[in-house]
Amino acid sequence: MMRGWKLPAISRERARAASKRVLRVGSVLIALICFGCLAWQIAGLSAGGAGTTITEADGRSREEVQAELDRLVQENMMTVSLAPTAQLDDEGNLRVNVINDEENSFPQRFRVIQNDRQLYRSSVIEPGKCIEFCRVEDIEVGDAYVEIQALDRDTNMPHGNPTRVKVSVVKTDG
Amino acid sequence: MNETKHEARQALMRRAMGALCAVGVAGTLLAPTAAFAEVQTNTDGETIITVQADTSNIAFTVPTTIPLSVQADGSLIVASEDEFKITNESPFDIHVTNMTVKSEDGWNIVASASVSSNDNSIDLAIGPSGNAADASEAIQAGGIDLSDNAAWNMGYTGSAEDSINLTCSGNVSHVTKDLQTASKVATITWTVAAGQAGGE
Repeated sequence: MMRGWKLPAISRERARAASKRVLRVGSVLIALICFGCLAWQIAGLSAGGAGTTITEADGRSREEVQAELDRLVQENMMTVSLAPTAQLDDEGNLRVNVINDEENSFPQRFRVIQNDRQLYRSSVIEPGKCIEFCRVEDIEVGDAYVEIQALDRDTNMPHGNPTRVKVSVVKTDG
Repeated sequence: MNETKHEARQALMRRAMGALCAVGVAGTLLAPTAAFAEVQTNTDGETIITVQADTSNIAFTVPTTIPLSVQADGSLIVASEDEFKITNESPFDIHVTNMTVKSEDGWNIVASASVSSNDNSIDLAIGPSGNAADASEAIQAGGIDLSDNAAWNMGYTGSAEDSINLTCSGNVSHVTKDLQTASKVATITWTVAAGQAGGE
């Protein structure tokens, strides 16, 4: 066995470059795998029982399928509650009084929409909580919409179909 | 003499302690109790509070999920009308004024799946019996205007007509998707307003 044998300088450089290439390729592969897993999880979350979804009956009886569909509807019911007349003060504070009923299974988020423009997006409202006022810039007196979206309990991503409520924005004296 | 003075001092101290205790108890009784509602204000200017109910609100329960199951002949099984409904929880009438549909995941929402030549075609109608709204019309800009359709009215909570039971029917054709796992067909958004149809 040869002691103290070293690679020639040129070969050492090539070896280092090869190692770096392996590291770069490995990093990209790992990133792609992670991204793929994330995309798979997101797709799974969005398709799994949220919104309007379809599966095959798969040999089950109509009664079995019906019972399963009824259960899914029951478990995903939501109570929407907010002020139908939204009072606006001189400083742009809008009283929406959006209540996430304590019996609801999901957190909620809402948007304020007027003339097809989103003017405001709220933070997450847990069941049992209410956002009474929010500051909405550029909103005008007249018709507007508050859109309530249920959120996934774990990820706070949208869960299911949103619901809109038509509200009247009115000015307060103060 | 010294004992008398000592006893007098002790008596005085007892009276003083008694007075202090009395003041303490009275102070406790008169102190304002802490507010029951928890109030938080965040950086968006939102005031988040814990509440129970507000009878001036418009309130209703609505399904957020519309699950469908497809049979071998392409027809759909849907949830029963007893479960699939919108219920008014407000002390005044409300009604559904609009329905919009946005197709998802590559599904083609058409007027009739049986005559469509597109892959993953679905036709769908949702609404009160006899007044179901066609999803293929609701995907147009602005959705379907239901504001003059009395079938979408709901009376005040507790009245005989405080709910609308929803029917749902449809068919699929040329399905290329694997339906062993749920596939998202559409996002359906209903708009609700106070009052009755045509009388907002």
